[in-house]
Amino acid sequence: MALDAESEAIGSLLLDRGALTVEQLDAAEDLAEDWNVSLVKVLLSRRWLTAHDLYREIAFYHGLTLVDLIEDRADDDLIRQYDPVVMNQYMTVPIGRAEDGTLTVATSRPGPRTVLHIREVYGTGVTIVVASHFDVSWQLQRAFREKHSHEAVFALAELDPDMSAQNVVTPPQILVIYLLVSALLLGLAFAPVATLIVLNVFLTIFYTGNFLFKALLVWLGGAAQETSSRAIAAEASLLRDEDLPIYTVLVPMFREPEVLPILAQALRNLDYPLAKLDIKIVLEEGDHETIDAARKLDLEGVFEIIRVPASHPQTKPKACNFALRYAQGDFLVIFDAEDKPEPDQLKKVIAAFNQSAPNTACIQCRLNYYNARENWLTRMFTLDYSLWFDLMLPGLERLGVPIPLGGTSNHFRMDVLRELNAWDPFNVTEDADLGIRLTQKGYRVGVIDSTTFEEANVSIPNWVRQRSRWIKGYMQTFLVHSRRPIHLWQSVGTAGVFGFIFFIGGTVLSGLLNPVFWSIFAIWLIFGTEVISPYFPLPVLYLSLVNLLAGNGLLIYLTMVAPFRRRWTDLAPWGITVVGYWVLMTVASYKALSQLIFNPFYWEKTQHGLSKHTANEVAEASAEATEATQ
Amino acid sequence: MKYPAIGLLAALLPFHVHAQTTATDEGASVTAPQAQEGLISREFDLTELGFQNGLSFRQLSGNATIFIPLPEAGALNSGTLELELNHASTAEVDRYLQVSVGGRPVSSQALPDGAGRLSVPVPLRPEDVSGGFIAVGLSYSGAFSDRVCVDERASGDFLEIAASSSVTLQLDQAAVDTSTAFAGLRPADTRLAINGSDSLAALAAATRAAALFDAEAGRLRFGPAEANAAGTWSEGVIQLDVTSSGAASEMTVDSQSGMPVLNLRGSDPQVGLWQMVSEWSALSNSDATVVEVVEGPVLFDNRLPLAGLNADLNPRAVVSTEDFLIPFQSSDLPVGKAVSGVSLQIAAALDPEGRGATASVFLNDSLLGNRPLGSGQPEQLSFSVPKGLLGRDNLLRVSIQRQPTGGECRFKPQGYPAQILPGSTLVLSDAEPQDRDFFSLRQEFGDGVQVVLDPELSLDFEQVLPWLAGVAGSVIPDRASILPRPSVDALETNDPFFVISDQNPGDGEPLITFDQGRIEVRDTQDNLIYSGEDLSRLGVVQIVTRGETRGLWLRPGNGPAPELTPQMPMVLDRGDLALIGQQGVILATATDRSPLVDVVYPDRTSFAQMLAKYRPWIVGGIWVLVTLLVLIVFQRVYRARRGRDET
Repeated sequence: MALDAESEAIGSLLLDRGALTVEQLDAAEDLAEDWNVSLVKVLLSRRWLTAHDLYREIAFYHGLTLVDLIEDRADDDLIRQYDPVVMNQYMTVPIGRAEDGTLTVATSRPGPRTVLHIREVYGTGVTIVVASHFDVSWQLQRAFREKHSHEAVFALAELDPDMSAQNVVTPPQILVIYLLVSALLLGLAFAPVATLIVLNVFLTIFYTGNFLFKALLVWLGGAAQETSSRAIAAEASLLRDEDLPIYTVLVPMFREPEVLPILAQALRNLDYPLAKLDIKIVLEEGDHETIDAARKLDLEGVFEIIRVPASHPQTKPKACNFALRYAQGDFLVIFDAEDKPEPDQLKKVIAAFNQSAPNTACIQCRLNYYNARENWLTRMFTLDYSLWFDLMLPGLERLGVPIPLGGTSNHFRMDVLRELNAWDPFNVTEDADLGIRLTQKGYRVGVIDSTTFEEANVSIPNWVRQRSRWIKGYMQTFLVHSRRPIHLWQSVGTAGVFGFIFFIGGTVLSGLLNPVFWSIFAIWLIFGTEVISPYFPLPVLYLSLVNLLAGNGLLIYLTMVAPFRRRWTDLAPWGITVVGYWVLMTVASYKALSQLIFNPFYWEKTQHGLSKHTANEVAEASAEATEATQ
Repeated sequence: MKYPAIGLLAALLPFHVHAQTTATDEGASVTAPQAQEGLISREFDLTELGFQNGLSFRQLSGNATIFIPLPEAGALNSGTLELELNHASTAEVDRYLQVSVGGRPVSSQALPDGAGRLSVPVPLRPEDVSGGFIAVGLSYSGAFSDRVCVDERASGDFLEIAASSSVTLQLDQAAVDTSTAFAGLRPADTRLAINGSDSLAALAAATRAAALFDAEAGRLRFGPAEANAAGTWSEGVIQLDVTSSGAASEMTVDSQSGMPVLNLRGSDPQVGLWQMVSEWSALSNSDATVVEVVEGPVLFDNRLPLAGLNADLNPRAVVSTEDFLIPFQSSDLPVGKAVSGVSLQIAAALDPEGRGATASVFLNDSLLGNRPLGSGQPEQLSFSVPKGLLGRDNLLRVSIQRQPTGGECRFKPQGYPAQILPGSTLVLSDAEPQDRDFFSLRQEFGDGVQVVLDPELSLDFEQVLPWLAGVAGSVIPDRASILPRPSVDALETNDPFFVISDQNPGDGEPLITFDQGRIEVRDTQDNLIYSGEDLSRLGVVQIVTRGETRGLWLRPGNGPAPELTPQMPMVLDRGDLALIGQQGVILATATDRSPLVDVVYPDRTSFAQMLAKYRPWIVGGIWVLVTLLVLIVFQRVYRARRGRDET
């Protein structure tokens, strides 16, 4: 698309004033035409000149004054008189009122459209000045700090309390649990053996169902994706840059400055116009270490740091909710700082949205690890993720069962995300919860064949912390969505309910029950059948035996075949050791249960950057970034 | 040995005797023995000779030989074998039983048609004794005399010689003057009179006697001799004198009240007892025999020849079915070994049509497998033995079957020989270490057992002996070395032990222990079976462990001691806990697998018992706590809601 006149004029000005070389200008103009964006946006996505220099030239071009809102702070009370959404959309902010009543409005996008908007919103007696978009955004964040912080925490709880984990359990749930516990105690008091047999029957059947459901998922999900993957890849390759929408990328981080270069370089490497990326690096305002590191990276103008006010709970979903207020894209994705998405991922997502049903609100990409072979834990983690994302999630999608979203690389339609009040800040696996909530609200979650590579945990204590948070989140999610079982059944259907019970509940319960059954197995090995036979009538004993041999054998088998899809056959033999991994899961499960009771909203932080591969990735990313600027 | 081996051999050894038509004089009878000066009467029945079920014949044929042991031929003055016959036939058949003594036909008894009972006396003379035995041959035969069709199976006949058939021997008391003669002629019932009962040697001798003289079947009694019926030698009295020095064992025979008495004197008289019933007993054929212990090599490998089990492996003519019976006990196996297989070398002749036979092998009536024997040559057959099949007394039965040839109303069915060859063995393997059964302990005792009579025991030596005898006879093999120890502390670590004590000698806690206050024995339905005085009257036998070594703990009761008989023996086979009383074993159970009883100590406050006793209260307490917790939560929820409503 041809360059607009304003861009051409600004380009000429920059060339005349020596801010750009001819080659840079030519390149910028070509990109602006290809991407269908203004020259200023292209320049903000390049590091040929600083943002300050660019805005100075823009101000010069428009004959306006350039103001530094960091030095000369705007009047917060004045800002709060206007709609933050509109101000964020047009990147305008009132900064003061003169004694004569003239209002001074700063904007980072001076031009005819903005002038019309300013006249419409702020009136005609207005003095327009230029400020960088960082300054405008920062003024908005500061002025609406309390309001947005409150919304980030309580929006869902206040507007849709049944879907919020703010209350871990509701009074009806307490009553049901109390009645069940009372019935169990009554049985133990007067018919202990019969009670234990009944309990055993239920648990054994649950185990069997769990095994069968997982096998069904793998069977159904195996071939389903092949066809759709090829169609999506084909459309993605045909998408033109100029037609692509603005894409918001949220990168929530906390005290992990060392891995930021990986994501920055990965985003630069995306096959997506950088000028159409609205990248928010979401940091806690007290995390000066990471804020300073981000500043030192001298990132392009499309990278913006969002500082999240400190409040309880200090969770990733709360930070994302806060940053969402300043997002400008039509779609949104969350990446972790050390993520390396495949370059064509965003285009594939756009293609997938185009090909999917209109109610598709989210596309989940696969996750896997770039340090899979670092040690036993990373190998097992890789097998776990391969089974989960490559085999099971496609099965869930095929069955129409609510999909618990993975931690990152889930791409949302912005309008739906805002409609649903985004993430639940009280849920420590907000993504899984959101996946269930989307299905309950009538939206669909899709899964596509595009992978984001992450850093697998190399340390067992770190892994246990991370996994305990996930399992605690699953517990919260199960409790939240089982509050209204009839509503759940009406909204997700019978298959959805079964899937929800076995996939969410099963993951939690199997972790908690495994040591019980392992102990029974050990007792049987040591003391023989006589000790357990009173509690295991023959049918139950045989079913337990099927679970022990066929069930565990099946899960070990699935774990071994999981990496075949990626041709990582060398990892398959490690699947035999998955029992050790299950033991760690059990440890994490009990830690999760403890935290659910005593500290339900505590965000167990996962330390990134421990892998030696990550250090290499950082070095490579830094080298690539340096090379690009030279 | 529980019974004279040769007696058992006789039961299994049919041999052909030509039918003789010479009959003894009709109405010939043997006068009942009269007590005469210098003569003693010895009476016993076929049971004592190993024929617990007597003998039986069918289909107009059958042979058997009864060997009556008489190691001292000169001792026999006269004797009588009174055969009690029970017979029947469904057709008119000419049948007879021919009896020979020492190969000399002495009687032919015609058996009338139909059913009936007869008593056939057979005189026994000193000249009939040969090789230490009187061989009494029995030949049952008959024929259809008026019919063309010949098929014995149609006769529906049988002849049964009752086990109660008696043998009466008039013995010259003066000839029973050596320990060999005493051992060979003595009655099955033995009485042991011990002088010097407070010594370890006396304990060892009593234990040895219990093991040797079938105390578990009530064949051994203790104490001074009682008056016999006039001239009847019904009890072999052994007078035991324990000395502090001198030879280990010195044996002489003299007469008391007209009956032979074996005097056994020495510092370790048990070795004399052992020698008396061993295969070396003939060496002591002199007025006085001195026995010392010499250690010898113990040989075993992973195969136990069937020939070493005293089984009858002679050839048999097999018409349709013949069973080879090879009995063995757990104590016949080397310590630490179990039978994992059977390897048989069997030869079966072919019939004229070239057909062989089939061998079916059973162990304790469980079929191990079968194989055809179609070559007419010796064949090697191997069978696996599943775990759990063995017990204390085992029977390997090899059943040889072939389709009878002949018959069909024209020819008499013909038998052709089959034999289990001497190379046949039991295949042994290492026993499972977790086996906890009395019969496996009996096997462990085979290499020697330490015996302790706790000095702190509430009963004295004489009171203990009846309790000790039955248990020792049941679990201690004949050949086992008896190693007496003065106290539990003196037990050595590697040898199994047999402790008679009120207190647990093991270092673990058996199911029943007597230092935890009151005891209640309950069945699986929690019904009280024994407690208090009822339990105190009973003896309790349990397998216990000290370190890695297993042993047996007997806590004698204060009630009547076991009064055992051959019909009601004390058999400790499976299980590791037994309650014994006057009638022998009252209850035996394994404590580690499907126990039949549960033992509760009401005075003991173990966590498990507390939990079991107060379970409803504990559960109720938990329920109250849960309820309170729920109420508190609800109260907080209510307050929070009210607070929100007010704001």
